[in-house]
Amino acid sequence: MFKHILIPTDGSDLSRRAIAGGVALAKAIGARVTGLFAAPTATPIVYRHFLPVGYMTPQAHAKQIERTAEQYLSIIQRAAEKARVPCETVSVTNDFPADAILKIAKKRRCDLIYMASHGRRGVSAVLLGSETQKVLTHADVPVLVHR
Amino acid sequence: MEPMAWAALTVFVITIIVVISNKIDSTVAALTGVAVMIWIGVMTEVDAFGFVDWNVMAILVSIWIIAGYFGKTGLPGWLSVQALRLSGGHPGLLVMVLSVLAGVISMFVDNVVTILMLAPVAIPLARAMRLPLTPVILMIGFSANFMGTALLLGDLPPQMLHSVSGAEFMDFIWQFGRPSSFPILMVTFAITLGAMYAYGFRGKRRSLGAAQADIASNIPDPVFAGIVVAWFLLTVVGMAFREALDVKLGFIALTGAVTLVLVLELAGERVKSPSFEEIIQELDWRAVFFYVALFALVGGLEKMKILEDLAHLLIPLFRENLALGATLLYWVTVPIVGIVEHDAYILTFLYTIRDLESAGVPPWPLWWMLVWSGTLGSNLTVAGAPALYVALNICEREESRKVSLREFLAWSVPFTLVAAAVCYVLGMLIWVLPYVK
Repeated sequence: MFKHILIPTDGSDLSRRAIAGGVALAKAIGARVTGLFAAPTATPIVYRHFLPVGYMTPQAHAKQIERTAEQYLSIIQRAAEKARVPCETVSVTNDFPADAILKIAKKRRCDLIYMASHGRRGVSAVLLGSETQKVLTHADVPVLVHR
Repeated sequence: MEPMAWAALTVFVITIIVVISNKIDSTVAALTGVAVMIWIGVMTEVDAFGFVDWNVMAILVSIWIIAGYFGKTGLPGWLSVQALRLSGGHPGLLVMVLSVLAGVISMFVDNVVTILMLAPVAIPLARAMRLPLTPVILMIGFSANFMGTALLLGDLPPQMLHSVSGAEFMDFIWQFGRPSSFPILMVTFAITLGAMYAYGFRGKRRSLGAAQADIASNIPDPVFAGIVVAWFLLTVVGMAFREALDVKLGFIALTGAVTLVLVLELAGERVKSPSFEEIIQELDWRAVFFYVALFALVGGLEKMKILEDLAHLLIPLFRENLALGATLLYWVTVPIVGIVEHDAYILTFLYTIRDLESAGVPPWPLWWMLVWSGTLGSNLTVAGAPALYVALNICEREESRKVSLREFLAWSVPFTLVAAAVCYVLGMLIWVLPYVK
């Protein structure tokens, strides 16, 4: 059975529900989890999806990203602690979340990826595509999609 | 237009689209385009050979050979450590000094070679200072691409300008009693770097001394380095005095390259130099053949008088209002060369502007505005310049991740906009407005 589950998060409500589901599954089967956040790059321009929405120095942006990553990953950490599931978290810089998920799954030898069905909606989903779909297409290990 | 002219234009456009799309190797696509033009009768194979400016090709290959030796002297590494010392260990200042170094080297050396020389020393420096690599390498790429046009030697566009207009080495510094490419681009470069520092590199971070950076700053063989630098300088000086020597620039460059190889071969074991075979193998032969094909392709258009027709269409615009015409030429060129390979575009319009001269349109303001906008605009995306493609590949390899378009644009757009705007103002004030009747 699965021993090491990778749970990526983008901070959305749907990924919070996926975290709860992933940790519950890990507890049920006695697996450990790795929480992952693919952080955007700390450029002076702050983007929302593809649109520039603001400016800050790269240092300030990097700090903001770090805080966000800690906040999102702490949700996984807390859920795992509550369920007494061994957990570690990792934050990587990558504007392509699917790439980061596949790389970390391979690097950390995860045998299951447990992720939310979608993060993007509407036009941005059409323009930028679904990260879950990309992971489903390219993953070498089973992927469980939480709906 | 004659049916054959339409055929030539069609082949040219299809070839350029294939080159831009990058589906097939750009050199293969361009050479195929030339072959098609020959087979359908647009030109003969002898015509195609004649359209290639072999003088420019000689400059290109010769300077690349000398630059190839220069890259092996250890001087780029030594210069980078001096850059670290000069920056006082401040990360933001170091990026600026490395950018200046890239700009200065690229005035004499091919842009891609400049990046390949500086990246191996810039990467450990950036890592030691905990600077993200991508902006550092991109700044080196932008700077190399930017300053290649300042003098005649660093890039193909100024060499093409020499080919079409006869601009000499010194004309790139001072021409017709006014500053030209070198001073104008130097001022633009300084302002752009200042703006980029304020934009993304200011803020105090931890400092680092040269000793802590663990970068080799020694020059393995000072005799070899001395010979190469001396030959490089002699060749540049020779090219600067081309009119007095009364030979082609390509011949001077070729003489410099061949004699350097000869001296190093004769020195044998006494100097630690790479073999000529190694240097020749490292030349970017794909680029050489691409440029050969480009000259032949544009020559095909010229033979069919298509560029003359284009010039006739543009005559009213430039003759009636030179300032407006130059402005349009400049600002239309910037985004176009940002997304298409800029050499073909620049060469086509250099010829077109030459044909405007017969209608009383002064060509020099337009030639300069074209070459500057064509170079500065090509920093907008990776598609515009091979140097940026190489820089991006280095970033992705070193950081083990893909660099997104939005990350690239976050650095390229401000750099290009500031550079293009400053150069536009200087170009208009110094080169266009004085010619307006």
